[in-house]
Amino acid sequence: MPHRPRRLSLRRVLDMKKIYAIILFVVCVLPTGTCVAYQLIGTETLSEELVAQHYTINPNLDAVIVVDRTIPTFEYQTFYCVGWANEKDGEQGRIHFLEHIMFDTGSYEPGKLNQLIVDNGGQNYAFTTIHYMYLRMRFPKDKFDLAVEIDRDRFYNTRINEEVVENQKKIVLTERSRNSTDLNRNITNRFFGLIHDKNQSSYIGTEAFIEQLEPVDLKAYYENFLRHQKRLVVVIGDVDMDHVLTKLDEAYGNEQIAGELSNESPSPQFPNSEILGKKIKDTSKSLSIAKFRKSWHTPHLGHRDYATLLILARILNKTSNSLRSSVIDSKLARVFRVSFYHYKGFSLLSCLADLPPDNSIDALETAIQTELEKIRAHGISEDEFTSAQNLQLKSMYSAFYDRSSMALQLGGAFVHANDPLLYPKLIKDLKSARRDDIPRLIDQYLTNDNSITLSLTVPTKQKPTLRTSLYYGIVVLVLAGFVSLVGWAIRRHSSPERLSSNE
Amino acid sequence: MNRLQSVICSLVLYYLCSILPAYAEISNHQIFYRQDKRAPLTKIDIVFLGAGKNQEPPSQNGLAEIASKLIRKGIEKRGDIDQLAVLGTDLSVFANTTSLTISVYTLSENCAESIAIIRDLIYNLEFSESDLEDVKKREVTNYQNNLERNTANHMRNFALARTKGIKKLRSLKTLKNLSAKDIRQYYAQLQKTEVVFFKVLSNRDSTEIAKMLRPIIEKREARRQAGGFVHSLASSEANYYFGPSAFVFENYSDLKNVFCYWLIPYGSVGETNYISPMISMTLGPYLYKYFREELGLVYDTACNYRSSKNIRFLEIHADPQLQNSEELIAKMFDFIRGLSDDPRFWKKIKALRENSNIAYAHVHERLTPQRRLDSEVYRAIYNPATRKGGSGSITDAEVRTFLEKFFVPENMIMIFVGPQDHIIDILNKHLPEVDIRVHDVKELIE
Repeated sequence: MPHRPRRLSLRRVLDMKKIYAIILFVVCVLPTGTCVAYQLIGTETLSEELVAQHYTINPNLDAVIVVDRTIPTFEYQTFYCVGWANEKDGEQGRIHFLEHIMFDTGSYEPGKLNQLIVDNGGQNYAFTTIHYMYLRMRFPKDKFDLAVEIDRDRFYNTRINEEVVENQKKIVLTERSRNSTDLNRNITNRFFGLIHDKNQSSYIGTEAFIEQLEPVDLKAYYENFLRHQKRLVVVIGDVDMDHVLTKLDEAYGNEQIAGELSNESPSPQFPNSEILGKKIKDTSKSLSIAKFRKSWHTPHLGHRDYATLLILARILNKTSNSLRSSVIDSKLARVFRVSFYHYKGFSLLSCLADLPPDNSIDALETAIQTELEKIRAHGISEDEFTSAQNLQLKSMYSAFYDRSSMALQLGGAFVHANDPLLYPKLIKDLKSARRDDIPRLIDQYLTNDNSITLSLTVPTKQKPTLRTSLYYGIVVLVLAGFVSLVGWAIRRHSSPERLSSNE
Repeated sequence: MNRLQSVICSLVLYYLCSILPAYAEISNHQIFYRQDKRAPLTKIDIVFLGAGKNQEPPSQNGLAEIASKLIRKGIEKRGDIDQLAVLGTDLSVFANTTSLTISVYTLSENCAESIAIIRDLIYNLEFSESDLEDVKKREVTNYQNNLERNTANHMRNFALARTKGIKKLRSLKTLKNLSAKDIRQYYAQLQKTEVVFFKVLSNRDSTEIAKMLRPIIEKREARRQAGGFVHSLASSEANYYFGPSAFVFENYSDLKNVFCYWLIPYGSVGETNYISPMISMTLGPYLYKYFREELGLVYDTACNYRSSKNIRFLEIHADPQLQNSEELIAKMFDFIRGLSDDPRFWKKIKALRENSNIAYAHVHERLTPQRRLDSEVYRAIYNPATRKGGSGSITDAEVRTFLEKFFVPENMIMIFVGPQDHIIDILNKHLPEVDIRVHDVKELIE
């Protein structure tokens, strides 16, 4: 008897669909909905071997994970999206001070944390910048749980007491005095002080401010301000992706601290637009060379023009047939370079120079204008553009060999533009950049009223007057007259009798 | 071609191109290769072994460096640099102690094209007097700039030159006397260099790389002549004591800290060396704990093993504030000379040994393809003796012998940068046996 297929009734089919839906919900939706809080936000392929994945662990904490099994270690970098630009004028230094405490002590007895890291084959490093505070650990691959534990304890339980604060004061003051004679650092601090409209512009703070720091005040700042900022953890190395996510979720998934900053990209506004178009001249007697910096306000990392501006900066900075070579060859500056970096909500294309004390800053400015005008009017050749484009690509790919540098790039993109994957996306933008845009960029951004110029020069010495023999003759005569007058007066004063007898 | 034939062919190609781990010496045209797929890049170093700074007589100090700059200039003049740049290729020429290297760093997709450009250029360069003068002028500026950027490096070299008799890093005096004839002679020898090898890091596979390099090898083989540079290892430096010396540098800047360095020379580059990394690994955290965490005297302190020319030395560094410098300098001197009897040091050595199973992250860093490649080439050049059990087999007695031989005042070179009178007062008060030598930073330029 031939087998007849059974026909399912519509009702039966609907019932089965319901059952499948429930099973599907139990298997797929419930575990992710109830057990873990992290979410994948984006993925970018960096190269044949490397892929970057961006997750949200909780509303205040994001993570970027790149699995790289080249060597059996991993980088664990934490970025707190707050730096000295977020501190009140005159009160800068707390964040850097807390960075020292979190780095050196964390939740442990003084001296124990570094020992723990070393005993587990790790390395430890930290710094504070304009927009972020950064803590880095590097460990062998089997120490991931320890790295998360240290990071978590630093976040929740950093020990801030009298002993710790007094000990750190000595170290921070040593760091401060060590940095105070660094001329490049000083001009950079002054410049970013102007940009952020602050008189005090050092991440360390003044000596008086450091001296008066109290544990209570620092603890309150740590608990009520620092821990409320957005953070990013970057993990790159020989790790298991699921394990990393599980551990981060266990440590931070239920974090109950409300964030102060929104998830929006930072506003693309310049912090102090009143400074644009200004030329500031400072003098210092201790200089042996003059320092010059001219920066143009350019758009933030996520802007469509950013990649082409990178190429333009490279063109201007070439060692031959460029703005840099023309300045060096004409001896207008001893050292000259063009740099291009992004910051929170903006970027700066800058010319930096060291000049012999008697060289003219005006002549240097004219040379810069002339070179820019030449490019604006005539554009650049296809070869020149392709060279800069390819060399820039090569330079960006090179960071993939260096986990620490790659993590810093991802972290910088997160802090400055709220999207760590903008860094790999930039590689795509570079490939599609267009030569024809270069004159427009110069026209649009590299104008005087969109720039800040800061020069630090040696005060001009008063020129000695020309002293001729006539001048010296007159001086001798005047002196001789004065001496005879004084002699006559003394004689007259000391022997009145003789004078009177003579009379 | 059957399977056996193809296997034999592969083996022959493999042998011809010598893609073998180096273990004894380097054969002509050997290719040292490592693959790294993390970035689509290729870096090829063409290394002329024996053409480095070691072969320069003292009267020609700087010859290899100037020649490397002139070769680069020659390539620039031919327009090749611009052609390479369009391909995203950086070309650099530099000299180190053992060799002169032409280095090509490029996007892998343009590697073959870049190699085709550089294949011929080494044989067709011209050097005029004006080129030489131009390069010399630039070199004087570079020297000045380098001195400002790497002052500590020049100070170390200066102190070692004065105490151990090594060559200065650079000399303006000898630079001035170098003639176009000297350069041409060097260039002629360079082209006939007995052993040229390749050091390659790439995401592309080895057979592709070998194929790309074949025309360079063929060209060299066709022009093979005697009379070129021949590699020989520099003779080992004699270990002799010179008495504790302190170099105090003035006119550096208005420093508010005192920068202090203690150099402990212990041997020559290329010698087997297990004990100094062990001491450096122990001392680094110990110095940090004692001088920063416990005494709060410094911000930065470290112990590194370094070399200058052919001398190897351990360097301890510290940066106390002016008011802490007296305590630091006196304590550090006692710390170094008392190290062999310091129970805390031996406890830490013991802990290091007990933790020998710990996979230190910074040790693993040496396993990157680039670092493995560097290490392979180093071993091939110097062929240092290896020890069964490596550093794990070093005994306490050996460490003690090392400390008693080298961590003694007679073998201590100190460098201080800061207010001269203040430092001299400290030295006279606490270390009267030290030979104090005051120098101006300007003296670093000879």
